[in-house]
Amino acid sequence: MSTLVECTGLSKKYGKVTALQDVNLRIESGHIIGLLGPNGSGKTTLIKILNGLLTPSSGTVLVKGKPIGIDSKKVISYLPDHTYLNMNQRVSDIITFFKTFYEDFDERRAYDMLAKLGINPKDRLKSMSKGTKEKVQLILVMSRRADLYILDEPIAGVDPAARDYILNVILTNYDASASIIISTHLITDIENVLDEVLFIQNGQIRLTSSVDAIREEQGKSVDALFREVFRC
Amino acid sequence: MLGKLIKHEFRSTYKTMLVIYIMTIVTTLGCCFFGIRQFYSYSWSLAENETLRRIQSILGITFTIAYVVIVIALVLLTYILMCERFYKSMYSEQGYLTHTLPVSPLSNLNARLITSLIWLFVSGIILLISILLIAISLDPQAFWEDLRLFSYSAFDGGCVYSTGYHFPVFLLILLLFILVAGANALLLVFAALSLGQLANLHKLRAAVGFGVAFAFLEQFAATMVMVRIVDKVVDDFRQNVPHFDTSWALSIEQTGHLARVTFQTTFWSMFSIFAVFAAIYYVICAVIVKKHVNLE
Repeated sequence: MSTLVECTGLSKKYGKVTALQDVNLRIESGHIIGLLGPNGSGKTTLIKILNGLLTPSSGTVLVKGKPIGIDSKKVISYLPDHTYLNMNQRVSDIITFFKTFYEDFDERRAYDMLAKLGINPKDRLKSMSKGTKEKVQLILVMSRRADLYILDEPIAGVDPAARDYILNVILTNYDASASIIISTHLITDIENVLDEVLFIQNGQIRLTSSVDAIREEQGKSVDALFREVFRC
Repeated sequence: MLGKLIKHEFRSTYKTMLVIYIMTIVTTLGCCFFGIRQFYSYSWSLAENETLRRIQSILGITFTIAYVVIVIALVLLTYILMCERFYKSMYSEQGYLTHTLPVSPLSNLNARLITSLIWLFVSGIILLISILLIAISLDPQAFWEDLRLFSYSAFDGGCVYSTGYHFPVFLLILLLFILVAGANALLLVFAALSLGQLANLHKLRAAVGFGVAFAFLEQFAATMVMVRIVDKVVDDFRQNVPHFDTSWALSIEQTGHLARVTFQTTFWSMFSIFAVFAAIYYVICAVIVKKHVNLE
């Protein structure tokens, strides 16, 4: 097991608003981590910093010992919380694009998953339903053989049956040595697949624990603990 | 990776550009056959009866209006589309993909700049060919006669007389000028959009504000330089034309000298202004894409 991500004194401010404050974090390989927190707690800000979409106000982030840059982007596969692909493109064109730029992209895996879902690769994204677009995005992200998958709200806005499918795709398509960070509000749906949880509130890490420890030491489910910690 | 990015940029833009170019070609040819020529020569007509002549007249007017619109829109539309493409792919939702690709931020910027410059250049070439075709269609016989009588040495002599450069050199520096002016125009908007995305709210409005400020600063600098150019040219006139303040009667040599001084001073001053501002805009874009991406 090796350290994949290391954040030290990480802060991010939007004008006068502090989105992240002095976050210190270490993520090891081979884990599925739930990044949990209420709205506006700083989850997406942290995720965007890890992906180089936001520049931190202070602090450092190292991915496999290197700062955010080309090397970190080679090993991180990121699913944003909204549609980010060109809607005019066909799925097959996007697969070609991913294959061109990501050395670890497994084209066959992508086409297999599309076939299982009955999605025609020649269809354009704009002709698809919201749920299908989200599935296509997830297929693209999970078809990479990355070291770290960062999934921002992967099951939000889809029906329970689709949630099961998405979780199944996630669990069956990552290598054991890789880690997955899943940001979500829907804790009960993912609780069983998580190894660790990170509770984040007001831009600060409130709790870092393994799921087993929460169950054994506190005798609660992650969902129950979340409700207790973040009670309004 | 830069090559792959450029290839992808062309793939993403060629269909729109192809439609614009086909529209330009169709309206140019339509105008050649039905439009301009009809105004130029009333006796010219394809049709033998009144109904067909009316149809021809309607087609002529339609193609002429369409041509005027296309000529104005061709380069402008290319420019707007390239700026829109830059914004969408760098700072809107698609920016999430662009900035998470394992390529350097400068490659992302350069790919968009190079692709946009190439499309602007192609649009310019198509516009020139289109205008040439219209000119030929006005009087084809006169054109071919002029071409038959064309003397390169006389043409080159005229070029040297009025600019101080032989035609191949003149063409080369003209292309360089077009390249720098195009880069300047594109980078002005790219830099404004890049700065605008740093704003927490109203990013596009902020970008428009930066764009207006840049344009104002550049115009101000150009005006200041032009004032200096006029002073310099007038000084040169006084030194080389003894009777400059009392009489404008110039010899052929004096006229040529003054033309060359005016051309070269103006050309290289404008070139320098465009190049310096383009470099400033590029640095702004580069710093932002490297260190201050702010996709909230």
